[in-house]
Amino acid sequence: MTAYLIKEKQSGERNVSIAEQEAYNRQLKEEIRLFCAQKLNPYMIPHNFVILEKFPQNKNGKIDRMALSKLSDIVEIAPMDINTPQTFQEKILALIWSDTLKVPKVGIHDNFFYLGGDSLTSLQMINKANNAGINITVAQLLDNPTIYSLAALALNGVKQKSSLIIPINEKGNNPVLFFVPAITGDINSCKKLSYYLGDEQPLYFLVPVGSVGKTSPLTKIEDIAAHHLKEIIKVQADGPYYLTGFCFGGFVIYELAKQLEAIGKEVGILIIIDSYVPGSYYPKPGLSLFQMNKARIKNQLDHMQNMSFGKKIKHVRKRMKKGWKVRVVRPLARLTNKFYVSKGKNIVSKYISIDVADDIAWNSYKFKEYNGDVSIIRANDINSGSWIYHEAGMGWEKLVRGKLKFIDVGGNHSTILKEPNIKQVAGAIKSSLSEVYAKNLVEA
Amino acid sequence: MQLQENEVQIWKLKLPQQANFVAQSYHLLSEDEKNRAEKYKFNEDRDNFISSRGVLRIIAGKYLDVSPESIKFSYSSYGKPFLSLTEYPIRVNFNLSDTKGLVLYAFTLKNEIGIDVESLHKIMDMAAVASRFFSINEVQRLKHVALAKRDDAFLSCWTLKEAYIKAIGEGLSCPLDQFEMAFTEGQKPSLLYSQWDENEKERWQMYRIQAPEGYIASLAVEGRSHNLIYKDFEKEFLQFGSVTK
Repeated sequence: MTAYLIKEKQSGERNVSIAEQEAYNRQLKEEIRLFCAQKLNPYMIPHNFVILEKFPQNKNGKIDRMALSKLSDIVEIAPMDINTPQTFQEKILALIWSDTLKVPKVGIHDNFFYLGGDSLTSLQMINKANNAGINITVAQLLDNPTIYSLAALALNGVKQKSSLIIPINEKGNNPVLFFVPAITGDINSCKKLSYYLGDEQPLYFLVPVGSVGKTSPLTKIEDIAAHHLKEIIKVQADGPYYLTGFCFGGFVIYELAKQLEAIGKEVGILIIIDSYVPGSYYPKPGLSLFQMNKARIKNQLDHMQNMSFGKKIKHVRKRMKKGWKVRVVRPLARLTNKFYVSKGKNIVSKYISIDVADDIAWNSYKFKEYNGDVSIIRANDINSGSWIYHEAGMGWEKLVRGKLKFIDVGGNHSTILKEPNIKQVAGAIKSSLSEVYAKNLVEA
Repeated sequence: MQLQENEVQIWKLKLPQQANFVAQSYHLLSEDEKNRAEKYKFNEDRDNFISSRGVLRIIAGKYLDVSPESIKFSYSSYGKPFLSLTEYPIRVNFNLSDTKGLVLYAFTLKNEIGIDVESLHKIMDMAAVASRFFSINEVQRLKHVALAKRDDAFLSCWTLKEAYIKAIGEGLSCPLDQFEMAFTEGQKPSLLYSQWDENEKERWQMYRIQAPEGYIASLAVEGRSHNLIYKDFEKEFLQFGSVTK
């Protein structure tokens, strides 16, 4: 038995990719199937749903049944019992329910308590589920007594709990330090940092928005910070908060600190690693484009001097790829975003990668003054220094109203979080933190 | 049939009942109870639900002096049934618990009440369930019980806890590790401690109540020194054949 469905296009509905349309259709079919299951006897539920733009018509303008049946032949799918577990969580829960309730087969829409479950078996079932890594509670079972809804809860719960903040080091007696990475979202430098910060310093890595699950990247620093704020509060309900971030991450924690302040939470200190506020660096005056590019190429040639031939090739390819991104893709995306914003819309962040979204975010961020204390860790080697002028204050001295401290470490922007410089960075973080920890202890 | 002040009448009903009893019981139920009965996946569970609800109506009807089918139950937000004071002049409080083969009912005037019965059996994952859900001290005391008696001790603790959370009307929505029962052999059952309110332990009296061979049952009642009276539904009602007369 086949049901034919006509999906009317809503006016103003956006065009989507074929893959997206297919995913949407699958979901729609599932929903309709579920809806039928609630209203119809099982034998009346169609086995097959075909979604069409319009019915095929014959010459007389009537529905062409022959053409229809041909359509269904193409897309016929195996009849599926809606009660059969589909996802991993559903399958595990079904096994556990059978075991605790001593029932040979359970469906995902069966109610635990109507299958014969009671209080004691609830505890046994939840215990087994938790042991299997499915994090649900007895209270959740009372409100969601089916495998279908519990599995959905467990899935959401897991996503919220563990994948948006990754504890790099959970031990240690010092207050927690939160780390926001650069555009690359690199977690390895955070792990390295943790190694040099030592066991006593708990360190949590904030996962970039848009890199996990179904989240889309965000194009506003404010939104990105707001997202991290929610997660941070789950880990640590109250201040003082200690935040550090590299490059782009530095801007995110700056906004994060402002938002924490705005909701009355104390911020211990911000430690910004080598982030230049836009406008605090610019091409050296008087240099022509030719001179600039000459300096740029010379810089690269110097860099490649001691490389083997193969390495040189690799390096050039890498630089060209990066150049394409930095000088073509990102500026284009920025322009597009500007255009959208001028029309009162937002760029569709679904279709851009995180680095592009992040780039849009920090370039359009309106920096405002901040009242708290900030430590800036600055790379003392400015490798683009021969053609770009960098302000020593990196733009921060105009913004920070609290105590502002600069700590210079070795390396340039790309090597500051690499060996051996990262050890110095860790040292600078440690000394900044120990000052505030001591201060907070005295005040407490 | 009457309830005296400070009296708790405890009724037992054996399950399953015969088909004609189930059929007669069915007609005593309200629409929503009938709907609920139909939702049970297995006929045995369905019939037992019908019997236990029918009998609840028969006994409550006697205390209230109304016909069983006319009784209107109200439900707490956690699903505990009660008799609304606005409907009935005397405040009859009750609670029931069913397990494999048996239902127990407890009726009293005015005081809040909770009851729980379990069949004595081997508990799957007993140690893990206890340590996940019970209070730390309960888990410790359970560990000191001889292995052969540990399943029964677990059920002793569990029925007391369950009777209590049913009496306060919250059921399983209530975190089980936040209060503590004295439950071991030779210990008088009692609420030792509650995280929410110091006065809770004064407010409730816990009882280990009589149950048929192979069962264990506990009771929680508001107040002190109650007079417990045991009754058997079949002896009182069924010897004359029809349940509705």
